[in-house]
Amino acid sequence: MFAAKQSDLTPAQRAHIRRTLWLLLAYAVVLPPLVWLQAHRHVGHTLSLLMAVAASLPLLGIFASWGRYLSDERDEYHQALTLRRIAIATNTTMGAAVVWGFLQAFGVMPLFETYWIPFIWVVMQGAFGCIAVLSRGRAGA
Amino acid sequence: MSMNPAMNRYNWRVIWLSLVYAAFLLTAVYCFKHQLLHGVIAYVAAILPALPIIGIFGAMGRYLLEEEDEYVRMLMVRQSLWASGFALSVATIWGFLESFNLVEHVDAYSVAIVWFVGLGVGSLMNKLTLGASVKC
Amino acid sequence: MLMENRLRVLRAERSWSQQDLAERLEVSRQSVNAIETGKYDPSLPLAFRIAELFDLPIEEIFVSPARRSSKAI
Repeated sequence: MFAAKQSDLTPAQRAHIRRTLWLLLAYAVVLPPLVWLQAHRHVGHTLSLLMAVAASLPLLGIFASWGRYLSDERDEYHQALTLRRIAIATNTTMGAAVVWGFLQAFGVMPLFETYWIPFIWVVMQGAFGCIAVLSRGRAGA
Repeated sequence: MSMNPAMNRYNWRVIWLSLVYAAFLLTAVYCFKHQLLHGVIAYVAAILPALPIIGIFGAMGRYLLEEEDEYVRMLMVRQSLWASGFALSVATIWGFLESFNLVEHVDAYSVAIVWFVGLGVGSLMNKLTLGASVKC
Repeated sequence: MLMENRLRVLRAERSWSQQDLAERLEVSRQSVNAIETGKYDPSLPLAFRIAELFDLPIEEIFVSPARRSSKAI
């Protein structure tokens, strides 16, 4: 995610990665039973609502973790780098969502549920990490 | 209060882009309603309204680069972060509500609207935490 | 945003690696590299910490951008 050697990670980065891993674990544990219940049992309205919120929470937690990282990070350069990455990821994700949304609306492409949008955003952050690791020669910008 | 040049430029760009958006959208809606388009042209016509919206995000990015007052820029960066977090969170929740059949499908381009609403959220958070915010 | 600075020279005089300087400043090695190569301008508090570390005024480490552009005359 931060594209550095293990030893190069700042404390704030370590904390963020730790939080993210726990949240992803929670997500992987919570989601399958909910999906199964929805598919195989009749679930009432209120319970469905609670389930949808429960499924969302780990992802919302990951976004909150990014916010926490930005305020925790004492190294201003890493802070600035991360801000840039978030801006690029957000712009790209929003752009893709807008394009796809119109293609959908005009019946040119199939529908998809909107939680894919944050999924793309998270994947982009990971992609940044991979790109920077692969181009190790540069100073990790 | 006089607005600074970077903010002025941003506002002008948004106005122009909104007009282009309206033009592209109305054209596309008309064409699709009357089934005038097929094949590649259909794709192009469907994508055209998206481009000015992407342009508005780009204008926001340009503004953040052009703003010379670092304090105002800092406020705006924070508001943008809140906007992004807000939009991503709403998209997440709505997506799950939708897949659990609790709400109806909303086209994905609405996330852009939510992002701009999120700027208002950010402005509020700035007022609460820093005592100042940027109106845009 | 390339701000000239003498950080590399000052660091070499003390035989410090970028990692050494980073530890003393309590920042990452990447930060030190970015500042030295002019890719990133330090904030005011960080600039003061750097100056105090080398026991020099800020202006003797970082070249003020305004001054630099007037050298072109």
